[in-house]
Amino acid sequence: MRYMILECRRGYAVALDERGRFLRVANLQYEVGQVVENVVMEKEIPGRAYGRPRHLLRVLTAAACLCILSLGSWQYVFASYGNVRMEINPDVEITVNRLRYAIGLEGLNGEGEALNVWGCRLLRQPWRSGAVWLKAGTFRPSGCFVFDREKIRALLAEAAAQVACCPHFHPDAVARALATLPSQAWPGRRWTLRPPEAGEPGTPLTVRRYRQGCVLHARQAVGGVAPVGDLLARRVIRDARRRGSPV
Amino acid sequence: MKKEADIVPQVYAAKTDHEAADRLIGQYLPFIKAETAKFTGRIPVEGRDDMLSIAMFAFHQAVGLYERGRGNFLPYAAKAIRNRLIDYSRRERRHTGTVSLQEETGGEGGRTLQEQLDSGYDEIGARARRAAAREEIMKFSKDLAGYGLTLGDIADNCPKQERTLAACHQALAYAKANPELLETLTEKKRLPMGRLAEGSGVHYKTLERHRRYLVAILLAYTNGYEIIRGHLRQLPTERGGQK
Repeated sequence: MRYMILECRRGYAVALDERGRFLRVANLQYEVGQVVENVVMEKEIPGRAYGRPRHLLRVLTAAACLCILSLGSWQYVFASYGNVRMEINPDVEITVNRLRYAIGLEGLNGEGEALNVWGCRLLRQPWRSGAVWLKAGTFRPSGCFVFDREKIRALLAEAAAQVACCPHFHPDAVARALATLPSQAWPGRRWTLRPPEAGEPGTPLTVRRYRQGCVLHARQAVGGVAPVGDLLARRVIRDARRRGSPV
Repeated sequence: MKKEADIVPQVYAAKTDHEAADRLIGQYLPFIKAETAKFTGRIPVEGRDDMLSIAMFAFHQAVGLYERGRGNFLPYAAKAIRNRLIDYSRRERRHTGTVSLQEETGGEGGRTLQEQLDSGYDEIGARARRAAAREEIMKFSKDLAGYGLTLGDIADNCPKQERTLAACHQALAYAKANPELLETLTEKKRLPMGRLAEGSGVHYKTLERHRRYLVAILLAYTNGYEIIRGHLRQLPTERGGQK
């Protein structure tokens, strides 16, 4: 290829090649009108996207990195790594992730299903004898404990709002739990009295005590009732479910 | 820091103004020489040293590509110069072992090898041809100035991609086959874009994007530029001008 030098400047020269291209080339002491066979052309800058926003590439790169990180963390935190099956009375299968954190619990029989009625264990509202929400209610003078369903619903809704984004949480778990509760409970065989603790719901109750045929009256504050044990608690729930007791 | 702040407006002015670019290169010639000397290990001489010419070209290209987000200009230009000199020296390394005709042979009063060889090269004839070409190019530049164009503008507007260049050549071939288009260009100082696009079958926007280049190349095919036309021997001829 031959190039005709058309213009010479300090920093560059303009050359016309035989294909009609006007090129900026290095001015290697050329003269106007000179025809040369080799020139040093401008270096093409790779990846120069004219007319495109310059930060588009950065944004796309950042988005791709975010996607990779999200997928990586999902794989690490949420993806199941192994399953543990416990074949005792409640038959359950626990799914754990790489951090050995239980991310799922599936009941394989009726009792197993009752073990985790919420789905997400982060709700921290156990269905057992120490459950705070089971104690919300009032005692009648006869000694019968009536569950305060509105208060229980408010307690559970407040706790459920914190884990609403959890993929394992069952949104209808609160309503289902309320449906399985009996309307009232008698402290005795299945339910026991719970002494009050700081911050627990409960009302004062007059408890009558008898000694040698004499009635002793004593006022005592109690926290409410609680199932006698975990097994009984689950049985109460199961029975309530079978009966289809109204809420 | 103050020096760096001063140079940035000059750099931005030099991006579009060729005279300002020349002034900037002249002003920073010691810097360019210093960067070249760092690479070559000797002080370069302007007008004789190719390395210095390459460094000035790299500086000019750095001016064109610089933006404020890239940091300070002088370190950026120093890097550009160094990279370009490395590229050039690698390219020239291929020719090591080749004897230059301009090299002095050492004997007979410092005559060059070319002077001693009878290569049949007509130096006087070549000078005459060069002078004639220079005159024609001066006239070409003057005519282009009538359209408000400089050769630097045309070099900037020249198609970079092969496909676009072929499209422009297609339009040129149509204009050559229809001389009234060239007459319209010279008489009315206006490029008949609509007719050119319609007749050549090239998209109007493609031609519009390279309007300045088309003006220059069509002007070269009007009367009076025989030497330039003779140089453009690889351009395609008209092939019917159909869409």
